[in-house]
Amino acid sequence: MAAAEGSDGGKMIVLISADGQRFELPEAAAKLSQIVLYMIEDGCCYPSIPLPKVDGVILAKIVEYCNKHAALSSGADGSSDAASERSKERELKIFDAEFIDVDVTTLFDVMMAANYLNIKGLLDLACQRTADLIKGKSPEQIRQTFGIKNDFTPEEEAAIRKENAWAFDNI
Amino acid sequence: MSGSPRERVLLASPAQDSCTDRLSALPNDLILRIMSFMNARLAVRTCVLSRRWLHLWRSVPRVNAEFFEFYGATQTQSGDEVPFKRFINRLLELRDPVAPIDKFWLRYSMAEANDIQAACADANRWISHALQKNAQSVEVVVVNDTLLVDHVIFTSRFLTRIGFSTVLLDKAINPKPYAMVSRIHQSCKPDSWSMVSGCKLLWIDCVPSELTKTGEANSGI
Repeated sequence: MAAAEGSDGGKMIVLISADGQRFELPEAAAKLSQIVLYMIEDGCCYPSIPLPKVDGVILAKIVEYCNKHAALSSGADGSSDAASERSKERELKIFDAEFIDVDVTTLFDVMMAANYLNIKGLLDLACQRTADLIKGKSPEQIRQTFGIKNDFTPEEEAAIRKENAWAFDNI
Repeated sequence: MSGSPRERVLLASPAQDSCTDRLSALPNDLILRIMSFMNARLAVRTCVLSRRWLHLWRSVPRVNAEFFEFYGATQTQSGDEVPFKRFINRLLELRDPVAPIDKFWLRYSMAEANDIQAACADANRWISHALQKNAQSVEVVVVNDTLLVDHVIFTSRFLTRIGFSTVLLDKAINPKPYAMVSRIHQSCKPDSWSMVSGCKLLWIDCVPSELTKTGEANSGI
């Protein structure tokens, strides 16, 4: 089957979500996913790539991320001077910060999808965000944020803190 | 990284997540990846969250040894060094012995009152330990004084990248004077030395087992 072409003449890739939604994106953006890259290299990406583990809402976000990063990756538009590189980096940083500023449920959905699709930049972004949500919180606040059930008895917890006093106390 | 809009999202979300703990349900490799973005002390402190978390810190592949996690632990900065050193020593001792370290990051403040030689000896030992655990990347950022690092410890088959700031790399038997050099040396042979001052980080790309090639300097940390 002939490859579909985008408006700029580049190849387009079609991804199908678990709930049957169709997403078309430039090959350069789709290739940010290692798993999609392998499928493209093996020629099994036409007419479309089914992604049965990712639902449409999350795949829409993933596609948004890939489109932005592919469009702003170095050398995408031929310009390579330092000033424009820095401004692109800044734009990506701002984009990433807003992109990942989501509720905890969406955050984990994005993380799982990035892991499954093997998109390293996005996986690191989601992991970094999760770590940032843990920073500066007490153990009880962390449990509340993520719904972690404390299955230690108070005596057990006290014993663990005592055993690891070198990390908890300023001794 | 924590802004007020995010906090609001957070406060609004626990109710819907209270019955499903998605974080603890993640596979170990993903939780360890998340913990790799934490400083070492915070990573260890997750052990009290629940049984699931009790031993995870022992296998975190990135060790971010951050002195400022102990800032203010005592009345003085030189006093803060005691719990920091004890922490790093215990951490490296109690980690899972078979868990590799991918990246070791040391951020150290050496106050004037400290015993510089002892601090250097400890730092060398920590870096050496990380390299024995097959660390591929080592970053050392020092403030307030210069850390002297013995180049011999960098003999590794796995090391691919070193980042230094305010670090003097030299043979232990021939320490160079503590001269500040703002220029970045382009060649760093095992018998030469290099140092960067200020907040710039010198990146050294390594050929396995040898320290023969200097990468270009990266301006940011």
